[in-house]
Order: sequence, then C-alpha cells, then structure tokens
Amino acid sequence: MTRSIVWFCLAGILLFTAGCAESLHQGQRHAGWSHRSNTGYADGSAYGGAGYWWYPFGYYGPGYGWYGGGYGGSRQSTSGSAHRPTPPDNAPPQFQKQY
Amino acid sequence: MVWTICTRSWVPIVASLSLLLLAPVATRAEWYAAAQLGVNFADPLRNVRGSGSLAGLEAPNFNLKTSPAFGGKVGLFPNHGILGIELDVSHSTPHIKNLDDIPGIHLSVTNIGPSVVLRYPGMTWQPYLGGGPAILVAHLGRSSTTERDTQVSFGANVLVGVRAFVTPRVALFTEYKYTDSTFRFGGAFGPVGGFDGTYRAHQLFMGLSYHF
Repeated sequence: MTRSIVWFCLAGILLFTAGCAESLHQGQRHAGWSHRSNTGYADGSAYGGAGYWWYPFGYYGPGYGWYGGGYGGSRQSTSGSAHRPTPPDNAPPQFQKQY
Repeated sequence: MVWTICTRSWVPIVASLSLLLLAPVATRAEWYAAAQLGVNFADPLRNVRGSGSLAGLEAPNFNLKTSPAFGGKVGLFPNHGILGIELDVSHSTPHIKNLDDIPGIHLSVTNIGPSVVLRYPGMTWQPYLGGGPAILVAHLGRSSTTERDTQVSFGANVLVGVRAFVTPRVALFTEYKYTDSTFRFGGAFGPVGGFDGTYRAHQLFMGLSYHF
C-alpha cells in the first residue's frame, strides 16, 4: 500500500512538473533554426525537408558522427534431447529432480 | 614478439587519432548522467544443463525472485541530435528460489551495457529506444548444494523509455529494459562441475538525469 502511494506520488510529480520545463539543449537547437530561418526565406530546410531528419547526430549540417552497430545476443536452443541420461549418485540434487 | 611490439606502438597512435576524430563531436554533444531505481522481473533460469563432469544432465527451470534494481548511466547525443550512445550499469539480486526441498541460492547480477539510443528530440518529452551488447557479471552464493562462483557472460539489452524535463537541465525518466544472456557457472558444484542456464530479465526503472 505504502509502495503504491510512493509510486503514485512520483508519477504525479512527473506529470505535474514535466509541462513546466524545456530541454536547454533542444532550446538551443530551436534557437539555431529561428536564426537560420529569419535570415531570408530562401532556404526552408531548417524546419523541414531532408535536412531535418537525415543527419542522425544533429541538425547543423552533414559531416558529423558515426554509425553504431547492433548486436545479436547468444541464444540457446530450447529443444531438449529426447533421451535424458541418468544422473550419477554424486550429481547435485537439482539434476536428480523429475520434471 | 614482433606482433606484440607492433601492437604496442599502434595503440597510442590509434587512441590519439580516435580522440582527434571524436573531439569535435564530443564538444558539441549533449552529455548526460543519470541515476535509476527500479524492479527486476527475471524469468526462470531456463535450459539448465550440467557442465564439466555433469555435462549431458538437465535440471528443471530455476525460478528467480523479483528484486529491486538500481544503477546509473552516462551518455551523449552529438550535436543535440536524435542518435546517441550511452553506458548503463545496473545491479539486481534475482535470488534462485528453493526447488521443492532444495534451498534457494543467492544470486546477484550486474549488467554493464553500452547502447545505441534513438530519441525523439522533443523540448519537454523525449521518448527513446535503444539496444546493444551486455556484459553480465553474475555471482552465485554458497549454499547447501552450491559453491561460490562468479561468471561473466555476454548478452544483449533492448530498452525503451521516455524522458521528461522538469528543469532545462534535469529530466525524470522511466524505462523498460529487456536482457537476454546465458549464464555459465562452471564451478557451481565445486569439483563435480557446474551448470549453464538461459537468463532473461525485464527491468522497470525510474530515474533522474542531468544534462550538461
């Protein structure tokens, strides 16, 4: 019960306070857009177009960043063998359980 | 010998070049550090098989306890962009439950995971997802049937979350992380052998991040 109240309060604080602030870094980025778009309307790519989305590390232009690689985790087959060997007498009890 | 000398002479050169190449990215990056607290919901340890002299034997799944989890992370988004990298370290204690009359075993898991993170760069709300390899350091405690054993295994992390800024530099976030790996406790039963098992865990976190 107490734990639920704590989680509820935390969620409430998150929802209540989140609307009050904006990221400083994103603010700087938006300020950069405004500056660029106000210096003549010739280039509209600051707000839209391919330039907005196609530079994954930022919006200041090409030539930055690198591409990270993915990774595949190791998996083990779930299909067990049909024949199960009989555990020896000195085998730990975990391996002597019937299941 | 020659290979060793060549390798030693190349390491500082490669390190210096890497620093030179990454320096412009790092200086224009959005760095952040975070602390997180949550819950670790681990699936049962599946595919439990003997190793060493116990190779070929199988055991039932080992049920794991739900446990608290805590950790921290550091990361950066170059140029305030949508793609970044982070290093996440979290610790949990998903102890092995008793197996009928066989008592449980203490188990602790430290998950070290570098991830590639993709986010929506919103002003206030920033949903994100990511993934990458995981290094899992798991420690098995001594019990009536097991010896102390520590293993290091590789796996994978997938994460998804949302961050909300509460000040221009501070954000609250909540995150779900899925981990998949195979534990190999080669010395869990002393000289007799050990066991391998598939470890999968779901973690829910809440945390606070500071964006430099």
